[in-house]
Amino acid sequence: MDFRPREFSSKSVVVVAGVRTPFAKSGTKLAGMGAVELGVRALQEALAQAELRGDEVDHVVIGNVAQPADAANAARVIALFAGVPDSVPAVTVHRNCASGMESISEGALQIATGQAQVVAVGGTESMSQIPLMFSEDFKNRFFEFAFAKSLGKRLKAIRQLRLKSLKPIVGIECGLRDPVSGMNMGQTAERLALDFGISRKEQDEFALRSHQLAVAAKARLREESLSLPIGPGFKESLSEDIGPREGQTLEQLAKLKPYFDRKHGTVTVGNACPITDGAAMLILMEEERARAEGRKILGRIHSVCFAGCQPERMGLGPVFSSPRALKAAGKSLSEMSLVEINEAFAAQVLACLRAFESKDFAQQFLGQSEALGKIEMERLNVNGGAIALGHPVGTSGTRLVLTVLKELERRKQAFGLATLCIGGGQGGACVVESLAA
Amino acid sequence: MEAGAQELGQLDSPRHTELIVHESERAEIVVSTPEKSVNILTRECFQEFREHFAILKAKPGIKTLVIYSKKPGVFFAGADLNEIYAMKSKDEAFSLVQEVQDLFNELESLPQVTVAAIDGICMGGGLELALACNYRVCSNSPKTKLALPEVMLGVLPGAGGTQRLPKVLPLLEAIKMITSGAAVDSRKALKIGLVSDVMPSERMLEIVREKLKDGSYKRWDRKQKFSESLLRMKPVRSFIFSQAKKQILAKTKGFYPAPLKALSVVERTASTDLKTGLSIEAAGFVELATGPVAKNLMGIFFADEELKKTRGVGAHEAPDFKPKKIDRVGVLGAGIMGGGISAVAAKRGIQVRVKDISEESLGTALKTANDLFKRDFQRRKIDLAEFQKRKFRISTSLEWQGFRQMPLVIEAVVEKMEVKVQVLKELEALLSPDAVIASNTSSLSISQMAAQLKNPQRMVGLHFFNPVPIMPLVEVVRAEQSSPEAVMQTLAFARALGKKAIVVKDRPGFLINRILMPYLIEASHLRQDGYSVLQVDKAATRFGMPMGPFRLLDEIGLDTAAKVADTIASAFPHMKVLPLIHELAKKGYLGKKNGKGFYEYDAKGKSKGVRSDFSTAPQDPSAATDSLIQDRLILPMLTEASMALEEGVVETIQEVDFGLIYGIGFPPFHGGLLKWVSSEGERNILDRFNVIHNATKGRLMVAKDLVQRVKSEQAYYPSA
Repeated sequence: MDFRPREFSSKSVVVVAGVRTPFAKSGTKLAGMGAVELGVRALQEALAQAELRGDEVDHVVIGNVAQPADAANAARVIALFAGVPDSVPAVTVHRNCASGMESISEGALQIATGQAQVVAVGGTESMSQIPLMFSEDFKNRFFEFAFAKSLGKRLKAIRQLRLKSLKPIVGIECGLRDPVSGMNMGQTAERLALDFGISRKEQDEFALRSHQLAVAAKARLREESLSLPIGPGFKESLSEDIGPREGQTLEQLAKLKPYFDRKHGTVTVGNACPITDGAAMLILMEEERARAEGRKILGRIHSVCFAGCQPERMGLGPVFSSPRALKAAGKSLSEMSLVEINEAFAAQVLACLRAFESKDFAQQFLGQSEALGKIEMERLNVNGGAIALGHPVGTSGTRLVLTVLKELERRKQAFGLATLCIGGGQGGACVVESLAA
Repeated sequence: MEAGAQELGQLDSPRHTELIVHESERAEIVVSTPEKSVNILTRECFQEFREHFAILKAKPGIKTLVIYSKKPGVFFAGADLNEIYAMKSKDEAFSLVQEVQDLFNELESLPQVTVAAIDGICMGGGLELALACNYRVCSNSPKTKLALPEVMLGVLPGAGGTQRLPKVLPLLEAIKMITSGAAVDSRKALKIGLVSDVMPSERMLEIVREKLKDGSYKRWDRKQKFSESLLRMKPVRSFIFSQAKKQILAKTKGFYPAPLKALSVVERTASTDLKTGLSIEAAGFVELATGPVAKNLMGIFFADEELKKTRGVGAHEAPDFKPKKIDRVGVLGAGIMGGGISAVAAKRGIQVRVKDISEESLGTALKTANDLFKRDFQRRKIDLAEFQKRKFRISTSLEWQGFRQMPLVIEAVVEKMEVKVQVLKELEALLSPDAVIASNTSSLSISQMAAQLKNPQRMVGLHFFNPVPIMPLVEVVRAEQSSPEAVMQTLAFARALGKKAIVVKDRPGFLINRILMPYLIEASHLRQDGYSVLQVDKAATRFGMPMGPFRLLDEIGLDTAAKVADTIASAFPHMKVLPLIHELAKKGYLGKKNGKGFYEYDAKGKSKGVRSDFSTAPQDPSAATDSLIQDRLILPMLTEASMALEEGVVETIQEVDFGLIYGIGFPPFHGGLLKWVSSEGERNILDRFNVIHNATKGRLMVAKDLVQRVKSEQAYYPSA
């Protein structure tokens, strides 16, 4: 579905506040907090920035991929814990890596259709807290044991248990594997590297660029994020992303072994995004109301579009979704002053760039005669990307929009495109306009 | 009511109870004290019960009786305290107790199967009534609380509580309930066997009726557990009693006779018959109820009830204003006070936004609050969900965002006027016109702060005491400019936090710290006169103060104390501050917070005794010295209290006494400072005052008001 607020109705959707937690590689600084806690802190801060009371929000929509077992509808739990009153509904949305962008789409749709005036949207993810699971065999034996009516049956259940069924299943591994193509995400990146002939060196150089830009943008990235007191004892405050590495060199990256195809592969943990914890929230408001209340407007949401593609080449998602979003917004790629393509893998971003420029690709897959256009490095991921910052899967879709809005504002430029690939073979794209220009 | 039910009660004046009989077989007594929000066991109520019981006794055809309340959330709040408070002679007390004991004996001996169906609070005499029934069941409502709180008011359960409870409960639990007055909820009540069943409030009556009808109530009978019978063996029992006695003594320091008396009644009557037991119980009750401590504790209780009702402003001021319910609050400054205020507010369901310029302070405030909540969680007072809710209610910020919509903001930044004014000006620029600004200053002038604001009427003081989560009192400070609405709003907020609040005028030190000041100042003078630290502190605790002045100085922090002393004493030239505390603070003796003051402290803040340089031998360790020290510490507080009253800092002597008890822990068994003066006799106190006046070469001024009162024979509390 292509969603065009302006054409859809007369109501225009703006962002009046946006903030995220700092991002931290899983198992590090934010490992103890969980998706709910990260979400609560980000939502509270976004509401505070907007100077809104919880009861002024009409709906809360939050993206989350791993769906914590103890918070079945994480958005609802987050909203209530953050001080949003009982009467305000909340929904958790899931579109894999674009869950955070899906929330913007849903929130904007509600405003455009007049169902709501203020919607808190965002994403949250704790990839640290994705649990280990028991095997199916163990589960069956366990219930057999638990429901056994006699001692004999209980003993039988225990006897039938095999040692190998005690081996846990790593939840995150399952989550990052697409059951349709049977490939994990890294393997889809290897696929694209082969398709587009992207060398290891090119990938490492792109990863290096991400780190260098993110390190240089430290102060700017800090403007997006809140300062988060972290346990135990809250002695420490995390106020910046811990991913970007100062002094990262090409040599260091070159030393890493390929991770997904150990023998002949080119994708390493160095030129892929790390699994990460973090949350991001935006407050969407109907423009007329925001203006009537004299609010500072961060930017306008012009379109949010999704498109499908081959699951084994999911990394090309941006190439399929971006033209739809641009068309819906009535803009061309050349009008985009800034473009954010989520850096799931260096190979995948580079593949997208080539496909964007390729007339062949356009004709063969997009049904159009001309190439989409060139995305110059000067306007691409200018503050670094997920390879350096990390990619909390449910959060990144929101983070990209926040980052591009903030940077447009700094540069006093008008239009930007935020797009990302989605595991399972989709792309998401969002065209925004800063009003600072 | 079922069809065919007949009413047997009379229908003239409003009745407390109503007897209903269904199908001539099943009786019910419905309780509802007229014109009260709670049910109270008054004399009229007893009389009605007596009539009902007479009917029931004469009609053995009636098989069952259920006693329940018509008012949701309350079974019985207890006996009518006014009746107990008003008792003058032992005879009068005795006849009252006996009347109730006889009545409950009647209930116990009724031919019917009797059940008390308890929904809501069930206190004191109410629980004793329930104990005289065959069975007790209660609702699972969070309001359901059962207790024998008599000892908290200085008496003991005199209507059979000390006799019937130990027969129902395991001995340890019975002793705990009787001697501590602690309440149990429905879950605990079922666990310890105080009730036989717990059920939803809405269906309780239906279920009880059903069970009485089909006979399944018999399953409520419980067998005594082996462990319980073990506890009733004599050697075990006497060990339990001796341990309980030790614990009570450690807690009451011998100042409060009721818990010990209650314990001894339980012990002495453990194997007597009910009749003897009841008469021993009655004697104990009479002794306590006519003694001074019970009267003082009840006096405080009444003062509390009165103060809760006050509006905090004059009757003609803002007559139509109703304070709003405050559901979110801003706190400026995440120090010990700001952090404590945040924790208390979050605990009470209020969203808190704390701002500080230091991330470290914000972290510490979060930790303090979290530790408090965690303790409640670990003690199973709250569940995980409540813990999380409390935790998430506090959010922190280095910037102003999130403050614009606050209806009330409490300032608790560093105690410097220029800093406070700067912060308050920034804050005011953001806030909506009707938002209230409250300063938690302990020593600066609220009126001076207000003068710097565009809208000075919105400024008040809200002075919490340290540690905020523990100290019950707050002073709501009304500056010259404060609007009555701002005062009322802040007072309502303080009460919503569960605090005892008094409204005071904006004078240096407000009410409490000003009266406390001479207590602290005098400590240095006593030390200069050669009394040892330990001797002074011991004399103070023997008087009943929770801490001696030196120990208290350590607790406050010597640097803080020096600063506060300077501010307050500079406004009142008769306060002569010695340089001792200032010198020590300069040398780095800051008190408990850095482990060294007059005492030494370990890393956890536990006192390891007086520092060696201060542990000189006591001068003349006699009782006479003790009382001289006590007079020098306590009497100058009277001077300050009477001056404060004269200046109108508060309106009534009750507020002074109440404030001192809840603000600095002035011994409750004395009933407050002025109550203590009246108990000792104003003339006697004046004589003692003259002694210390002369002993200090006139430095300690005799309270003018006291001289006046002795002359005109006007006691602070005229003895009734």
